[in-house]
Amino acid sequence: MKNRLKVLRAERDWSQADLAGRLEVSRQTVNALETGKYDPSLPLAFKIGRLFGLPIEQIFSDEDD
Amino acid sequence: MSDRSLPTAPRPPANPARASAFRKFFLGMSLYLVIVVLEGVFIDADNLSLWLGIGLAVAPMAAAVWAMAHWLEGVRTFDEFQQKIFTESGLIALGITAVASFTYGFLENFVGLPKLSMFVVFPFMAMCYSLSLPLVHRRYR
Repeated sequence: MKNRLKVLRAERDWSQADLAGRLEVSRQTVNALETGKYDPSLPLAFKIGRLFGLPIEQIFSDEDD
Repeated sequence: MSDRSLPTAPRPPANPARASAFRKFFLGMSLYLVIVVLEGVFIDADNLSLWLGIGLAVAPMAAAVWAMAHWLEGVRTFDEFQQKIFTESGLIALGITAVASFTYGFLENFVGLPKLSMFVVFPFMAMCYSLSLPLVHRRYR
C-alpha cells in the first residue's frame, strides 16, 4: 500500500516524533508507515484519517492504483 | 496548511502501565530465582514425600507464571507495529528452537550424543529471541 503520510506531515511541519505523539505510537512506527514497510490496522488508519481530517482513501492507496 | 502555530506537539507519554508491568515482571523473576536458590540450599530433595516434592519442585514456577503474565501485560502496552516486531522475532526464535531441539533429539537417539536436560531448551530459545529481535528491527528500519 502507498500512502501520503510523509507529505501530509511535511505540510504541517511536523517531525516524525510529533506525528508519533499525536497518534500515540512510536517514532519507529511512523517511519515504517511512511516508508511503506508497514501497513496500519484499520483502527490506526482511521485515527490517521481523523488527525489529518481526510478520508482514509485520500491518504492510503493500493499499489496498483 | 501549515500548523506552525500549534503549541509543542504532544510526545508519546511516559507509559506508567508499561513501567508497572515490567517492574512486576522483574519482581516475579527475582522471586523465582530466590525460591530456586533457597530450595537448592535448604531442601534435601531425597528425603521428601512425593507430594511435598512435587509442591516444592513446582513452587518457583508460580512466581514465573506471575512474571510471565506481567511480561505479556507489558508487551500489550506497545503499539501494533512494535508488537508485530516482537511477534515475528518470537516466531523466528520458536522455529529455530523447534528445529534445533528436534535435530539434537534425533542425533541423541541415532548417534548417541550426550543427553541434554530440558532446562537447556528455554535459555536457547531466549538466546535466539535476543538475536532475532534486532534483526527483525533492522528489517523495518
